[in-house]
Amino acid sequence: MDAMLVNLLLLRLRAGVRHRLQELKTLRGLLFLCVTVAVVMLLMKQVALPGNPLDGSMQQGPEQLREQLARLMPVGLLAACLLTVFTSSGPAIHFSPSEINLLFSGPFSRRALLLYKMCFYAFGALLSSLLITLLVPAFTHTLLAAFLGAFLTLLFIQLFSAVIGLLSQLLAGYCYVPLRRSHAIMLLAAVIAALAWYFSAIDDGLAAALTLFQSSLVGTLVLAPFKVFVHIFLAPSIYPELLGWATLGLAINSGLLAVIILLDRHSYEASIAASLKLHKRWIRARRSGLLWGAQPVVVPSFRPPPVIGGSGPVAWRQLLTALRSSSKALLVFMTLAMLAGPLLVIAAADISMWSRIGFVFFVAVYLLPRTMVFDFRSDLENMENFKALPLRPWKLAIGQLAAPVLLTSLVELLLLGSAAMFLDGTARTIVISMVPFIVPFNMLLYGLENTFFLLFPTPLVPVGRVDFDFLGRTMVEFAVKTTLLIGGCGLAAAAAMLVLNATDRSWLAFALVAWFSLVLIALLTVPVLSWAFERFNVSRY
Amino acid sequence: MALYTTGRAGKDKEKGQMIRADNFTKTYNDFVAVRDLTFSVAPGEILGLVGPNGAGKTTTLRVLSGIIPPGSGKLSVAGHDIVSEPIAAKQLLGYIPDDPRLFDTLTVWEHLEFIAAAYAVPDFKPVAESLLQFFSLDDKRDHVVQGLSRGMRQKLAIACAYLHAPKVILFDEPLTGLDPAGIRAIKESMRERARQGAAIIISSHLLGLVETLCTHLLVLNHGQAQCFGRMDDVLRTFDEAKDDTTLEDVFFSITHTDESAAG
Repeated sequence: MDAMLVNLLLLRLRAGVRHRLQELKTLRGLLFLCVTVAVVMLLMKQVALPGNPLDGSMQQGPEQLREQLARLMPVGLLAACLLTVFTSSGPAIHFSPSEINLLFSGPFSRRALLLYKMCFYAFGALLSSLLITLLVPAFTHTLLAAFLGAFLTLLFIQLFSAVIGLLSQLLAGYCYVPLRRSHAIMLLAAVIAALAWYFSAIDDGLAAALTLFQSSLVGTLVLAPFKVFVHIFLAPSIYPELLGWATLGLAINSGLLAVIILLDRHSYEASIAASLKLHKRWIRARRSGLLWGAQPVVVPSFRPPPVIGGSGPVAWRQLLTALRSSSKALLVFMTLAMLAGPLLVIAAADISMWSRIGFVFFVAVYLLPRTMVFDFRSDLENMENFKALPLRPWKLAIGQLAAPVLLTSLVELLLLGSAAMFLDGTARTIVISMVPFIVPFNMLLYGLENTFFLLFPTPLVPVGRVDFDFLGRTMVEFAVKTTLLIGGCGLAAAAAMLVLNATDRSWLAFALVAWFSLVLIALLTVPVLSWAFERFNVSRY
Repeated sequence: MALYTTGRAGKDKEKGQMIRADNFTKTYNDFVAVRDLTFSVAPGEILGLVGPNGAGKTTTLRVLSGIIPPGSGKLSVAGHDIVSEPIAAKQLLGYIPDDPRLFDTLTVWEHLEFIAAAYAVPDFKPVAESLLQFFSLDDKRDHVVQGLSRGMRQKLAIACAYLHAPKVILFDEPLTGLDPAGIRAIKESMRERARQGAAIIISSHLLGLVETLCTHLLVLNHGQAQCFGRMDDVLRTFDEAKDDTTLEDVFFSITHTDESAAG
């Protein structure tokens, strides 16, 4: 690689470190670092435990853990690669506008630039590998094996995704259309659902079906390259096993890099256009949190918004934003919700109840709120407009909360509805009785989300590939938000329990009190959010 | 040294002021952005707010429009105190920031609909149509604003600010990114609004624009008023020996004097 590009890499690395150190000088940066370290240490402790309390199947020693890893990791890696391919958009190799402006017109060959970019990715993978190394010692024989395994595997996923991206560009011509991706995700969800259905039909369950696939000829061929990286992780000694498998892994990655250089010649121009397009989208996502923002230029204007005391126009505008920028994402979520219901019911034999609850909780409390950002969180740049409007803050707060609460409730309603169709007896009654709680629960959830955002406003997507600050921030927010959410729901449940005991176990009274209490607690977030909006200082952002 | 060519008017005149700032001070932590600022704008007047970068112009406009709270002092818009009666004050105010932040997913027409609903403007359609026509945006009616040029966004922001016929209009660098036709249209619209009785403040670095358009002048430097009064009086008072004193002469004279004094 060109010496100047090496210099540039080092300069950027130094700048990255300097930026992180400067962030540590602020109270917030320091606080988030502390919490990140605490969470990583907790995870390390959790992984180091012989048994995982969340999953009874993991109550085994190191050898059994390694056996499980050897069995499951190739398929997991295959899934990770496919997921990366399906969820990645834009060019196979992404160059930023500054790189295009400064380097593409500079005296550098295309190959040198590709190598530069790959080295840049490798730096990111290096940092992630260090983190993974800390988390997986219980599974590996040596720390070196864990580090090399993580590093080469992350590079492999990156390169694999790039090769598939370039191949698809070559075969179909470059055409970045988000619609295709959303369709692909829906197709993938349908395939997964069909596979799950098929596996559940096998008498011995999912695990046996997986073993059957791995031992088949197709499975052996497909999984062969992935197994190399598993061998690196599990190498019992440095020589000859680790050295041998790592060399083979490196050879596979080098081969993929060679293929990338070969294929890149045919998609040079498209790659530049796609890079710029992706960058614009990323900037928009950083600004507004809208990751799926594909908008047409001309659309029919909607009817005037209902006033509803001043909240109407604000809610109307957010619903239009959802419709225009994220309709496909909403469609995907609704489809997945309708599929997830029966899947959760059918896979009951293989997945413990706590795992199912944990999954639903993660989707409801983390995934959906991170997608349904049609509120203050996507309006960091518009805060000046809202401050200038002749509206009371509480009316504005209600207007801002309306769209995400309604849309999330719709997705969850579909999830519960689809699950109820496959259940009967008490389970069905419980699922149906959860329906009235959806809206107040989401009101509380989004009230907390927005309050946090206004008190600590930050973009909702990470800056760069390895943003530990973002990671720490997300962890802190999630932990505090979850605590408050559980506290709020717990208060409502406690009030209902009091009534249950006082009314000689009247479940109707229990449900009514629980609902009214939750509504009251959810409504309390409105004045809190209004206060947070009032104290928000637009001059600082 | 502050130069005030028009002293405090009588009580009767004070009552007629659309914009009033009395001893207004705004600080950010230890930094004083605006210090002890006093000025007023009457209906039909256009006040030019000039000063070097960081002089406190945008802070003054943001505080007047209720976007950020004042530190101390008293500010009112059309007789409504911006702290105790913010909604009534905002209802009569239009603010156009230097970088108009529009809602990227809404169309041009939907922006006007949104403003009409938010400000409770009855029967807004004829006014909205005429504004679109005036700013040559009628063919962009159903365009999502994300795809509009900088100048068109600026025109739309101004159209939105005019829709509810505000009595007070605050412009922060209003001509950035506009083509010559756009500049002429907006200057004309400003004069027209003033003729109709609106009180206007224009913050700009374009001294030529301020000199030709504004009836009054306020020069800020380091957060302090250096000069406030009628434009003619300021130009005349500043250098009586010259007949052709320009605002540029006044501006550099004031700011250089101040820099020298500071140095």
